[in-house]
Amino acid sequence: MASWKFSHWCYCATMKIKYRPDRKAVSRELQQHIEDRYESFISRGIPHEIAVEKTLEAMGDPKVLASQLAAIHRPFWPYLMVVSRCILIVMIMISIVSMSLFFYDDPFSELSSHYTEIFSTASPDRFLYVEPDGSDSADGYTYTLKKAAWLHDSYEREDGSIKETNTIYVLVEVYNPRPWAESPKALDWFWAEDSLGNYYYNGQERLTSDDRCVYGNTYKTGFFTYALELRIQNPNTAELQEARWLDLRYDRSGRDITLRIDMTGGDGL
Amino acid sequence: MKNLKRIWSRIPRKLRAITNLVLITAFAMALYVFIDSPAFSEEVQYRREERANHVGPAQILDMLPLDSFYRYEKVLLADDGDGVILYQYDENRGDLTYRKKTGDITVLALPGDSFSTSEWQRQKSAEHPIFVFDDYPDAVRAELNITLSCEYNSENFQKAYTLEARRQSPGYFLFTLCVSNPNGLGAEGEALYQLSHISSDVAYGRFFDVAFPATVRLYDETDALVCERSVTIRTIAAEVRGEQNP
Repeated sequence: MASWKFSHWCYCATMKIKYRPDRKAVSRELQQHIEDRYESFISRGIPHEIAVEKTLEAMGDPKVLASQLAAIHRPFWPYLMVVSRCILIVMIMISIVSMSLFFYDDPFSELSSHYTEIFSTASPDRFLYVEPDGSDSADGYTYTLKKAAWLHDSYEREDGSIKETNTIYVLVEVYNPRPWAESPKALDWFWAEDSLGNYYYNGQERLTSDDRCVYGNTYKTGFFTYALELRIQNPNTAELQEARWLDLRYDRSGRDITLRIDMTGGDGL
Repeated sequence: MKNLKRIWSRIPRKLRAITNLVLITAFAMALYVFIDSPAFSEEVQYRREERANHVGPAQILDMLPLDSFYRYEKVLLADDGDGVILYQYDENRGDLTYRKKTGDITVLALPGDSFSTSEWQRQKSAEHPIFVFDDYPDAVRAELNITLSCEYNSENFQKAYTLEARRQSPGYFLFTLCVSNPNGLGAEGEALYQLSHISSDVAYGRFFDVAFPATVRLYDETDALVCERSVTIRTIAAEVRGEQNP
């Protein structure tokens, strides 16, 4: 019974505190305080009923205390703290999810498997060049030659005839530290030239699939990195075996990006 | 971890809320920049595109709205001295076309549109912008004679058009080639399709040998002839081969 009266007193005293955790904490504190007082009355030999009355009397009017406590425990900052914490947690979760999606959707994984196959097996018809690592930059974009491989391949056409293909696969990594930078769009304008003076059209200049040309795709591989999958198509085998180097070049609007592939070495040659 | 929690709980709520708000702002800004990376103005967007295409920096001549018929909402015209640029764009995306100048007069049809060749042929009327970039600031009026030709249903089509334009902004004239036919544009639609794609990469494997001859005449305020040039609008592939095998 006493406990109920004390609880009711605490409830009345804290009912104007709007922030619930504060209300509970203050209520707990008051309850403890009331019980301490009650215990002191009891220890002095005062009967239970009178001790309860005296305790509540000593505590004063709960409605007056309620207004005072409400003025002290304003809800703005605690609520702002809770809401901001929730927003922060949600933002962190969104970042984690979006980053994992970003890497999950990464087309480079597909590209890598394709390239892994190209660059992993040395055979008489698969001449490999060790990682070349030439580098050049323009407009804040750094182009680094990562791998290059020369492949002879063949496939069966619909009419049953065999089509021979002769392609140099090149993997170029593009790096730009500015997160707001656009993905590099110069791919269609890269052309090539070998040490014998043979010219390979760029993607905009090629007309047919039999042309000697450079073309490919661009992939975003990270926040700051992109991959250019380039194919130098239809080189003349006999001539290319004589060539000492092959340059990938971009030279529009006053730029000069040159990535040199050393043709004199490499596994399989 | 427990110590950290204890220290954190001792910090006044006001300070904790402010710390959270600062972290939220920093996070939001980082996400904004890393994931969205919006351009805060059309010029900033264009300059980013310029760097990605490794061209320019060019002087911006004008920004014009495009008809809903085109893939983008606007086109920006620029000149970097050696070449001219048409940058078609929407919010945060666009296509940049860069062409080397052909002397003091450069003719460039707006590349691309949302129509396929058959759609062009079925249209009853159509129009397409052609830009003439010039180095004659005194010229206020321009005349463009252009001959479109193509093969359509195994027959040769050829038609000459005379267009006029007054200077709106320095550096260029804007011509609009308008055609109409109540029975559908047919061959004319095919020719216009080729004109609209002559500057873009779809030329590959389709119509590499397209060449539309044109004559540009510029007049000053007194209507005196300032300049007359004959040019040929061609695909890049044809241009390169023309240079290599004149």
